[in-house]
Amino acid sequence: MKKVIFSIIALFAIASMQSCKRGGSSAPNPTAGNVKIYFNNLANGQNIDMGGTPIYTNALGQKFSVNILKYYISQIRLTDDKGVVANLGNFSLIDEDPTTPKKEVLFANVPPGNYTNVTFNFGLDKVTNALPTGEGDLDHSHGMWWGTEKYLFLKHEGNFINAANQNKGLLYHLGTDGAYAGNISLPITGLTVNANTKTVVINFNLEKMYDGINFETNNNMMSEVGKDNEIVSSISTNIKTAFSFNKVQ
Amino acid sequence: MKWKIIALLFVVTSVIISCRKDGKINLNLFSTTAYQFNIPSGTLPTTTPKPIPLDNATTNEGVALGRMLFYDPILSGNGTQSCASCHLQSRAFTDAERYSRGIDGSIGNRNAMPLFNLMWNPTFFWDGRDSSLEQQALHPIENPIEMKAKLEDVITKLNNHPSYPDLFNKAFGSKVITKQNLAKAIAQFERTIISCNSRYDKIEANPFDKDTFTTAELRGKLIFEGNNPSTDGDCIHCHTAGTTFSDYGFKNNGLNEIPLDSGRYYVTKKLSDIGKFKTPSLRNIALTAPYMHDGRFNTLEEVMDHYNTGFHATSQYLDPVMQVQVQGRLTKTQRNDVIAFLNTLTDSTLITNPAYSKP
Repeated sequence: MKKVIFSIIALFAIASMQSCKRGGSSAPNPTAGNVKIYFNNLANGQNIDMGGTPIYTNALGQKFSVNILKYYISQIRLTDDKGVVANLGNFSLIDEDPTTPKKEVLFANVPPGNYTNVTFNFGLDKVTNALPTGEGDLDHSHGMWWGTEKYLFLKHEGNFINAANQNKGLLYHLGTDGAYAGNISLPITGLTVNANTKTVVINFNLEKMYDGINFETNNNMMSEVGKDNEIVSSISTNIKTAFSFNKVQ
Repeated sequence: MKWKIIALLFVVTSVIISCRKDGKINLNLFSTTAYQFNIPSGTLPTTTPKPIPLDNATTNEGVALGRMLFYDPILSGNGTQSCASCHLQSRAFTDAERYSRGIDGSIGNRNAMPLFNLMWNPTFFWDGRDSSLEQQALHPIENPIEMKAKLEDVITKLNNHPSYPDLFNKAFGSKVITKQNLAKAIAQFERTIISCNSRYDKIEANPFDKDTFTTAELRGKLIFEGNNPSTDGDCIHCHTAGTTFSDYGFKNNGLNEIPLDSGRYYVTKKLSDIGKFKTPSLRNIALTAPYMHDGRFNTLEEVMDHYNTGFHATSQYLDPVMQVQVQGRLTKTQRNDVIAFLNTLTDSTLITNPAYSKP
């Protein structure tokens, strides 16, 4: 028995010495770089005062606020000037949490090139949305899992001021496959990847998501399987224009 | 045989080499055995536990030590109270008091929280002021309205104790007891307190189980899970996130028009967090009365009446989720159905498991 234990200790020792050696077959491309995709969440063109009073306005002039704002972005890919596509990430939860925000997704070892386009999907594809369990950003503990209704793609909670000048709850919990918006494609300028780290800043203009939506009659939008309605479909259309390219830095 | 080899691989062996002032080297070889978490394939693991800190792996030695410490009044100022004084196993590790009494009889203003499934918790205390069990564990020891001890005195008492230095040596490879290792040991024991063996778990995990929900429980479950704020309980909005029955968020649930306790605000200093408290898990809720951060409700009937009719709907602090909920949306029968469902969340093995009892 002692022999076994000692040989295990010896194996660990050898393994740890081995791990000190550098190199290997999967050495990174020396000219590849890192790309960060940063989602800059805005309301009326301003950084959002999370948990603040209803000071932002939708297209109908209704004032609203934001306590919670988080959403899923999936399959981010970059296209270069030769039309070559680099697939970056799978599923990323973007969370404008006031204490622990998560607005940036880092991709290492992106092939060198001049990238002219970024494309991504809003929400999760049908297959992923139906998974019973998830890890990482898809873990159910992020408050984006809705039991048998699957995932929420976007959660916005806050308040709005109604016609009678009262502070009312505003809840948009969008999930279900009808809210999915695939292939949101934005032209970008200035992204040359070559052994460097660049950040692509993408604006998410929250109020644009609500174009044509009246909070007075729709202040509590809960996605339910089989109940996708015109509100869900207008949001999945609006959301494509709610994202815009800001800059590369 | 395969299992034995795997088990051997789990043996964590550490060598601590410390240089003494005189240049000689202390060699202290100690080994610990990794604690095997026994999480049954119930419904709980739909969320992943928070990662265990790299510098405090859970070991049999650490858990056994933490359990001893949890039950030992040596940690309090006058040697009369242990963690278990206010965290009783029979009550899912809380007590029956509105506010627990400290060693000199003083009372606080928050209800003692139950302890289970802490591995899934991102924050601790009603206001979430600590983000790890290691941080949390020492606070009640030092709190003047709780165990009211000076940490240095506790460490001295432990170092002079006939058996603790050896036990700390076995768990952490050092006979010299530090407050860090004290916190680590308690945290290790607390992580092992897992509750996922309620009737709810058994029925949900095994569709062929001979036990089923009664019609009232099933009605209650549907009201609980329904998210129509005009007709359903809409409970699941906050008491969800897998089957931990909590989103671990911070909410103002309209207990008062103007909050009496600023709660989460004390931690974040954000005005929007005034009067917010952590969403508690509803597992074992039948065991953990009284309810709310201030223990103001003695029964689940009172709690349900608050959420059905009693919350301050016009409070500017009220969570948006509750602002859209219609008061009086549940009948008395529906209210009682939800309570019947909540009673299925009681895990009787948690309160009888000898691994969690006083050693």
